[in-house]
Amino acid sequence: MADEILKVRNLTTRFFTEEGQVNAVEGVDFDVRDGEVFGIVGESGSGKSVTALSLIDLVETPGRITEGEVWYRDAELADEHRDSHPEAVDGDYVDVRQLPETTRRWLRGPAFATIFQDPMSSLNPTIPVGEQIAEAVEVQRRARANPRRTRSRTQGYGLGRLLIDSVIPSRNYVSDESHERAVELLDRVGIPDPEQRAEEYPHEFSGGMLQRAMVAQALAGEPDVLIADEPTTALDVTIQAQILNLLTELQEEEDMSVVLITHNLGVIARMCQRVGVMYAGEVVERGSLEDVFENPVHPYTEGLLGSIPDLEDPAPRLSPIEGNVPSLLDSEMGEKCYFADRCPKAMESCLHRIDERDAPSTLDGVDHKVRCVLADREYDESEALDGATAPEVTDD
Amino acid sequence: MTETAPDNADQPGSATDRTAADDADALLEVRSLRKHYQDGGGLLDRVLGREATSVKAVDGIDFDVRRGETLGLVGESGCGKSTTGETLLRLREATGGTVAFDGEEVFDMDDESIASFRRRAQIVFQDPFSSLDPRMTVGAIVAEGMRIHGLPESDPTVATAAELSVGDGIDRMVEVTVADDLDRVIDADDGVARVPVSVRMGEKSPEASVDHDLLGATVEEREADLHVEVTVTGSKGEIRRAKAGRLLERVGLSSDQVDRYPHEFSGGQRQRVGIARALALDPEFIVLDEPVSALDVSVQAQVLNLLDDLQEEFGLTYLFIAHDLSVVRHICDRVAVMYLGKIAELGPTDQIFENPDHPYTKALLESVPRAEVAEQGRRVATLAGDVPSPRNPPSGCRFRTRCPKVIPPEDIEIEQSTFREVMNLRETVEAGSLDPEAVQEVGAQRYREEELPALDGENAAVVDSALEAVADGDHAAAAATLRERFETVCETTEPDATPDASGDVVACHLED
Repeated sequence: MADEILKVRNLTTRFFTEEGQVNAVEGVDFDVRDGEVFGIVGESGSGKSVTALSLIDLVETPGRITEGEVWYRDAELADEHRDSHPEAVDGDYVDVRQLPETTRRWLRGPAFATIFQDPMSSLNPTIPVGEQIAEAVEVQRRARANPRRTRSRTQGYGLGRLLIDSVIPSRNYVSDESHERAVELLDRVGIPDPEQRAEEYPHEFSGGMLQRAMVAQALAGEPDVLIADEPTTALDVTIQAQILNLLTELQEEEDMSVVLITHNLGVIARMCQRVGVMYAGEVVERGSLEDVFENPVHPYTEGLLGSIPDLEDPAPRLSPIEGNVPSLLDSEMGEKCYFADRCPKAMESCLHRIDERDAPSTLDGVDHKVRCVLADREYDESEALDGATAPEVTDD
Repeated sequence: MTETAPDNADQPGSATDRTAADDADALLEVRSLRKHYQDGGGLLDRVLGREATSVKAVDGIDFDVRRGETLGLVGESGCGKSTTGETLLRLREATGGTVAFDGEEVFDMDDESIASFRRRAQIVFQDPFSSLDPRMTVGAIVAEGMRIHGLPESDPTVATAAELSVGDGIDRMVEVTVADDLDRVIDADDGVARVPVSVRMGEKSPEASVDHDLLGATVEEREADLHVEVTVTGSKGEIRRAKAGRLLERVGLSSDQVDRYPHEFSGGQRQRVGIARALALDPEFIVLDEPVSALDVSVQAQVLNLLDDLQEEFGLTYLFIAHDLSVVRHICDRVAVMYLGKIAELGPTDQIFENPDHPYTKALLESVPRAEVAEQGRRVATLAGDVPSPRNPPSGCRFRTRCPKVIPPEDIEIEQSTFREVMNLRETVEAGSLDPEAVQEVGAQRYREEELPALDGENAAVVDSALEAVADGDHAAAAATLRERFETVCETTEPDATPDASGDVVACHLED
């Protein structure tokens, strides 16, 4: 069970903007195991969403993935490419980034599917919801029938299409089977009266229902890895609970792996077995939920946990992390721990580039990795950085 | 800055009746407040014969905000919490009801009283990006309120004084006079604005100096002594700018930043600017409309701590509007839970969070994911469905369409969970959205057995006959049949939402 479906190594994504090079994702390593929910948590601008986009190669200009490998386990695909692209194959794994573009494209759906944060802007407002899901089904169906030709629909929408359709009905891109499958999927994600709802447009759906429709669309390709980027952030808590329950149910029944990206530590706690904490483009701490939440080593993780008010046992005062998220401009970042400026435990040795180190782990077979000098030593006040304004050290 | 001590002076009560204990400490009294938005009803709609509908955003709520407390207003999006905040400040015109601020009716105020009310009651908005004018410097943004209200002005009750220090070479008596309006520049301490003045011998004549940018001192040599006069030399604009700088420092920014523009600040810093703007007029009451929901957790904690400190320092009263329950638990003294334009429950924070009475409050609390390991894999009993439309809210209790504790009629015997399912069926029948073909296909009885397996006896018979009517396409008859047997108090009677003697509300028939 503990096999990895996805191994991400040294993933680095940069944005080349007018103001300079922005290091959005910086040497990110993590694994996603079969049938688990892996959480990525971080504040806005920490690079978690760009990491998601980088996994499926959807980073848009001026952004570019400059380095790194995304190893995806698929024995068939590995055999197929072993001769033509030897550098992209390692045992049963293929490096998605080195595969030819057509193959990579084909993988979006059966290998990776994504749910985005804002369902309202992720669906096309001019097409019925059912048809948009059917389209995803249809693309997969055609791709399976003929992997070389993976065109999506080419006909237009709107009035022109309405006229053409009335003259030549056979031009429909989406087949009836795909439509039926779309209705099934809507039913699967708990939308009541799916046949009727399939004909409705996104504006006729509530936020929670739309997010369910997004999930249905993602399920169309029967993905191995579902990437959920802030799937509940736009929703109210009671609706959030519904969607989280749905995701858990689907994940167990379909035996998918899920990469759950969120800023909400509570959502991470409810859903994930393992978690990675991102700060300034780096994964600063990763390990089992127990290790990261109960024995955090990185002062940022500690600070993040100390910042959230406890619903059951409110502290009289929160212990926030002082300061703000640093600029990710390459020219301003330098070679040091990016958290050092805000860190209550910053030391002289933090002014060098820090690689991932092993920290004590409570669970067998689950690594606890930390990008911090405190992984294998104690904080020593005599080495404290002068510049560090050492605010009240976060308690516990 | 003057500190408003929470004195317990008797305030004249307003029109509505309430107990004397409430009067003593209520700064803001909201009674039957309603705000309906008209939708449609324009010229085109009238031509087409469409009727205007009203969205009942806030539909009759009562509560008090006590001096010095933080009252939380929580609820899901669309429940009317922000509308409440804006309406009670008269930023939106109320449809009905009254709001009394310090005993004075806000909706009846004339221009002069409203100007004073606007100084005493302020608001911080949710979105730090759209609530600051991008073309004004933050200094101008913070000072804008003072400019509009013609501040700074001098307070006649504040005395002024100088602390004199005499340097070498001055052998005569020194006499100091201080301008009366010094308190525009110097904060009064115990009713006295005090300024340090030093006098020493210059090259030819004695010189006096004040260590303050906005004050100047002149020396006049008289026969027996020296006369020093301290005056305010800064213009009103300069004084406001200096105060804006001080406020920025108070909220954790730097006074050097007065000339920067909002885009140069991060979200958390902008929210601090918004707070400085609200503080500029020395208010007593601030509506905080989701002040931290656009911020990241680490920055959110900083702002929450700041709000805590400011409340203590300036004796502020907060109405804290939020959807994040853990934030509310942290900062509020009392909490009002809103659902669909009504208050479902109101009470002290600990009671609401540890011992909630209203089924909606319970469901809301249950839904919040806790950031702790024990949370892992916890399955939540979720509320079914979505919040109904405020255009056409449910009769009786607003929550009855989703309530897991909806009360069965006394004379029938039925399990709670089964009754919930029956009520769901009634909803779909009444909305006419149950597909007659679906019932026809399997027959009424089979359909009932599949959908409502736990139903038996007379209850099952009634549902069967209703389903038969649905199969014939007669939804109205089916709805009537079901209503006759399963009508609940939750739909016929609105639960009582008037605060009790201690100001608490539980708007639920289970509490009757």
